[in-house]
Amino acid sequence: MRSRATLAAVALMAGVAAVFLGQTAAPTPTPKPAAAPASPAAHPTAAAAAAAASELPKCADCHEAQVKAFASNPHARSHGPAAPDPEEACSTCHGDGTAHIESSGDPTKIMTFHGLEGAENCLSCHSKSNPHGSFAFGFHANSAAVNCLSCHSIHATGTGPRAEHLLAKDTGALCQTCHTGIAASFRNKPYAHRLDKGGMTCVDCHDPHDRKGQPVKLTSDGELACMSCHAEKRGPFVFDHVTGSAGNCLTCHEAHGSSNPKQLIWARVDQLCLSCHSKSGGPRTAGGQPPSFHDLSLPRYRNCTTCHVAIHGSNLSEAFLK
Amino acid sequence: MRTRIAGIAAALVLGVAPALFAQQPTTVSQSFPVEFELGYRFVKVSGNDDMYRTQINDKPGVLLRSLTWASTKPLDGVLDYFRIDANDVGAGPAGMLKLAAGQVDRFRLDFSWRRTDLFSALPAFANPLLDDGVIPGQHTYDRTRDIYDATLQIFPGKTLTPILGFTRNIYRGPGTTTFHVGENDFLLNEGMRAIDDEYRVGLAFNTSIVQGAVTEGYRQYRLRDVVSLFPGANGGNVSFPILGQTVTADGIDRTTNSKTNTPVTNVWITGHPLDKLTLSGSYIRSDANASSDSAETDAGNFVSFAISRFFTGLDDAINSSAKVNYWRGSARADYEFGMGIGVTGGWTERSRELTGSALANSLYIDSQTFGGISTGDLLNTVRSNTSLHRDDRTFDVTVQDRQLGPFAVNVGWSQTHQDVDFGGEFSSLIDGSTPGEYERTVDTYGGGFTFRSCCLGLTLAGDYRHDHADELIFRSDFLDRDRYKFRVGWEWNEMVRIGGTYQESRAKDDEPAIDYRAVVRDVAGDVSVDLFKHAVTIHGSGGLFSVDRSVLILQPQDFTVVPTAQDEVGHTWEGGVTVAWQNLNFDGAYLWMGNHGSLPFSINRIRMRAEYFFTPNLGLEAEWLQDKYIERPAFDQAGALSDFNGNRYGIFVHWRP
Repeated sequence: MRSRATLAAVALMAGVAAVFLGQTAAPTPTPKPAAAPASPAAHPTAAAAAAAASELPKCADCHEAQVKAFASNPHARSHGPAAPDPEEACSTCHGDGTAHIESSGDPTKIMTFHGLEGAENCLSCHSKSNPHGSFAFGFHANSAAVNCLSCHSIHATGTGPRAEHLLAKDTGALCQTCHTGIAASFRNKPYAHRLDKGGMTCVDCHDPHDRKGQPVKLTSDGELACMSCHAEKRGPFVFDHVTGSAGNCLTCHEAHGSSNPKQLIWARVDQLCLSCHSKSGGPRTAGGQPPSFHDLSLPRYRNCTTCHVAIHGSNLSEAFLK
Repeated sequence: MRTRIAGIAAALVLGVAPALFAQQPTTVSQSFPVEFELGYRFVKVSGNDDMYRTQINDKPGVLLRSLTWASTKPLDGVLDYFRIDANDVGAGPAGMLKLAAGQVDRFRLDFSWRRTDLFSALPAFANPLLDDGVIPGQHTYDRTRDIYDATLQIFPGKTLTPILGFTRNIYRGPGTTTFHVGENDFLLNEGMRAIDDEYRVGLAFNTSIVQGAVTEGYRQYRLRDVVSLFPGANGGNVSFPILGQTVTADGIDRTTNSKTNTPVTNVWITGHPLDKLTLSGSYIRSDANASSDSAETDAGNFVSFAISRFFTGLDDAINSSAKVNYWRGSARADYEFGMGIGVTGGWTERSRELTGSALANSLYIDSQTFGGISTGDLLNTVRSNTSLHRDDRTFDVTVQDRQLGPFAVNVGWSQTHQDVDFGGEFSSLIDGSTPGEYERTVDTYGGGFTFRSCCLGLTLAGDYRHDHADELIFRSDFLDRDRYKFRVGWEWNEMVRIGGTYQESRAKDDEPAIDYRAVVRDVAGDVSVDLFKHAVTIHGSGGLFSVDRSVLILQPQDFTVVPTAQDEVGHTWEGGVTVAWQNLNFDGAYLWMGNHGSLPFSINRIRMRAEYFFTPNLGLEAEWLQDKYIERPAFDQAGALSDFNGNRYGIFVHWRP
């Protein structure tokens, strides 16, 4: 019965999708020419390009796919609500293409965006610098090794709707290009955030344009990004624990995938807890010694959180018992 | 099984057929900007289903694996553009939908919804009865988290941009937990619902000289948590008598309601007083006020050493309040000398001040002394006051040259000073603790480089940081720590790509009585080869990781000092092939991971997906995913009781523009 119902549901969904597609897949009207082309004053090279355009081949004669796809490219919005004239759009970023055309497409005779020098062209518009992020001083600092086109593909992904922010690949695949070990940890270790399954990606916690020494995003409250999902751990609690005192979530948990349950940094909970809560001597440290009835030879006491359930903080119990 | 798959396939094909006909007049150049993968997933698990759900949690059912709809002209006069993205909506464990829409220069609306099904029922975790073969442990949950977020920008990118926003985070569902009462621990059922709402209103400003934003937010958090004795758990975890009394529970019921209101102010500003100088600053302030009340009724035969009595019931009422004043400020200057040379320096400070109090009225019913003399009902009232003040202050400076030929180099220093003051009755929080003030200063020195040779196709990167602290706050803090990162990448003719990374962190405290050491290493490499003009890609990767962490502890039961050990020695190997030939796409991979350490296990994963496009737009996908988890016997682990073999079979329709 359940399988028949499932079959019916699938067929219904597929049918609805089909009707939806049939209704909305009518031929799209041809984009109108731009009502107000980009200001020549703002882009002096564009005027020259336009003047030469009547005599020379058009960009689209050679770069048809890129020109046609540009209407769905977010950069098209910089031309206002009307669809831009493709020729105008090209010269906005690539400058005067006359020499490029006259040389039968010599790539050295047109402004491109490859490498560090090319990235500087992107930054003429996309300058980002604030207390949290900077292209010049970020941990992906704009350099010959890592620059805009290392992650973004301006035209290649414009042919389809898949890539957000004009990324060259899906976020996870893109980050793992360089961060091989961390990506493998997410994919392989048994306890990990469900990266790239259901939308959680590296950039939920990390801003790739953030500054050095600030590798994790902060919430609007100035907390670690962990709290943007795990809000119930935020508190404040009358009886605070690690997060509010001198540590943070990463004091006990491994964010990038763990071999241990609950993504803990220790396999044994008692050893994790006792790494702070022990008095074997040495300098004064925060965190006390469990009372002597905690007999670690008994299974009941080896897993501290069996009783100390509210380990992230409690309003009801000094010892986190509830 | 085969007939069901065939039925699903037929249904999908029949359902999509009308779309095919509808699409025939459309030419490729007039592509419809929608892409989606919709289908059904079957799940077959052998072994420990709880462990499968804890680690994987793919469920059977209809699944919208992906949807993207991006348009530039969806609604004339209303929207200039919109974009919808969705992933894994339907048969869990996590799905999301995002919408971005707007009119250029007038407004932009961003909306997102994310659902995560969270499941945990581990065999060995919180399980004092594991030796008796009882699984899973006593802490389990089967919950759902929904996060909705909407932000409206009016006149985006203009000189002034008003911003309105709302976020709702709902976390709810059943679970089990444990409660320690009367010198026994009882398994409880738990139902909880937490809602966290945040309202935001702000104004962003953007001039040629100054940019920034001011946002005022208000957060409301509500929690309702209800627990009751798990059916059949009357005997608790302690089976032996205590002072001749068998401790049992006839009923345990507790309801807790909590709420927290938090106004938040968030400001940032960036200015360019000189051509090459950028000054920026930020300030965040939040004042959280939390209150909580709890009513608990317990009945049974209990023992309390705290009041030196036996008792048959407990009526417990706790009212508490906590307040946190938090602020975080930063100021920074960036100066670029030109030619990629620049210096940046900044200050960041945050302060968190907590005050809390709880009033507990505990009425012990029908109490008796340990000698057997009745003392009737006893009311015990306890007020606890806590306070905690934490300051963190960081100064940092970095000098870099991004255009040193093919190199980019940087060197930097930072100093973080931490000051924590435990006050009030935090001393009773952990028996034997030493409350008071703790201070710690950590200096960090380091540098890094990147190198890129386009001719050789070679990329190199390295980074080194040394941290030195003057004091410990926690026993697991370091006094000295070294961190290394190296990366190499090589690409040949857009056909062969080889990459590798090495990371190592070594921390120690040089305190003989604590002897904290932690060495974490991770080396990984991957290679991919594109053949036949990218029609075939063969890829493989491998990695080794190790963790060696230990610290001396004082065993509570006999006061002996012993070392602890967290060991991980593991490997990951992956290999696969991707084929894109005419209308056929195939992606297959095999992953093998093993860990020989404190928790030894191995995992074998198979990923297979084949896709055939009947038309340029319409394809049919078949998928097989397998995860086999094998846990080996280890101290306090469940071993073979944890093993599972989870197989998922999926069939999907793929429409692409």
